[in-house]
Amino acid sequence: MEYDNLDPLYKILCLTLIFLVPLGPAYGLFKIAPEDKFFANGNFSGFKINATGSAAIYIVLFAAIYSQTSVILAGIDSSRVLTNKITQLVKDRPWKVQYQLKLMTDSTHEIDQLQYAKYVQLDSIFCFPRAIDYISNGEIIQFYLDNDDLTKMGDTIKSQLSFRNGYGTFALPIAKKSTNVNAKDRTIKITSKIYKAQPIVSQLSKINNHTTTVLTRTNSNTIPPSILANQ
Amino acid sequence: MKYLFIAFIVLLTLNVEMAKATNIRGQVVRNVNGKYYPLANVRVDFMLWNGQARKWEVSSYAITGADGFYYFVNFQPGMTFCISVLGHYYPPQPLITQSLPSNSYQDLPVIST
Repeated sequence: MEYDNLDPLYKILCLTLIFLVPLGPAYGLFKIAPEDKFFANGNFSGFKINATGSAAIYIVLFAAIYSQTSVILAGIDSSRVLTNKITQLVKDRPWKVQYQLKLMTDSTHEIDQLQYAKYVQLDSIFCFPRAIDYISNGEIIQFYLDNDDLTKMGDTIKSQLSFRNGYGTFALPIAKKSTNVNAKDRTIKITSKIYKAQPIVSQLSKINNHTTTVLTRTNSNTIPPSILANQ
Repeated sequence: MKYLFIAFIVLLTLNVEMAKATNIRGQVVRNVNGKYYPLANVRVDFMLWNGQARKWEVSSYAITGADGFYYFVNFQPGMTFCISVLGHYYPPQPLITQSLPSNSYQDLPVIST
């Protein structure tokens, strides 16, 4: 069973202790020196006190501790405010997105470990709308994603990686409801193999021999093409 | 027999998953005195049609390599798309991302700026 707020219980416990703690020293002092006469008189919380013996010891000790009661109870309240702030910060803390990638030259061969730095560069990583604090360690690319941005993305986290020298641009959407998303630790782990993009062989010679259609500016739009209503 | 059946189902599922990705590639060139040369370091925007919002959205972008090629990998098939290069949108009519096996590419027409 889990309770969200145990503050009232703590306060009752504190008040109980304030009443009980002076009993020990009062009893001890009375046992050590039963012949000594203890007197306590004066005003306490609007009451006129006139006590002797162990009761006098207890009242004096109780009055000393009681004066600190408001400080102790205020401490409990302020610690609750601090705890709430920490809880809120933990709840909204950024998500850690971690890609564990293998760059392949073909279906079976991975590139040399030393070559990862050549392809994986920090300015090549894009995440929409934005990501914070990139860390790249060869095969592992890690970044943090603001919790608010993640909330706005709907069911899919859009992210994109661009690699230089032929690996191209990779869209790596992440479904929020997948096993890769650990909501407790706020981590998202993606493992993927990325294959080297292959250009079309002798494309330019085909173009220059007029065997391939080329789109020129006259075949383009200056605004995005219109879409029919049912699409 | 049971394990064989399970293995068959797993392989079938994997094949279906593999066919779900679409890879797109194309080349940007420039025409100099009637000859075409690759155009490197040009930004190519991949634009997807958002049917719900009824607007075009820049899904991602790529920079052409030394050979003028750009690559967009791992896109969902069946999406309406076009690309934008240097402020112009190609092709005149939008295309649909195809369902292809892995390592295959949907080739877009060569663009001459």
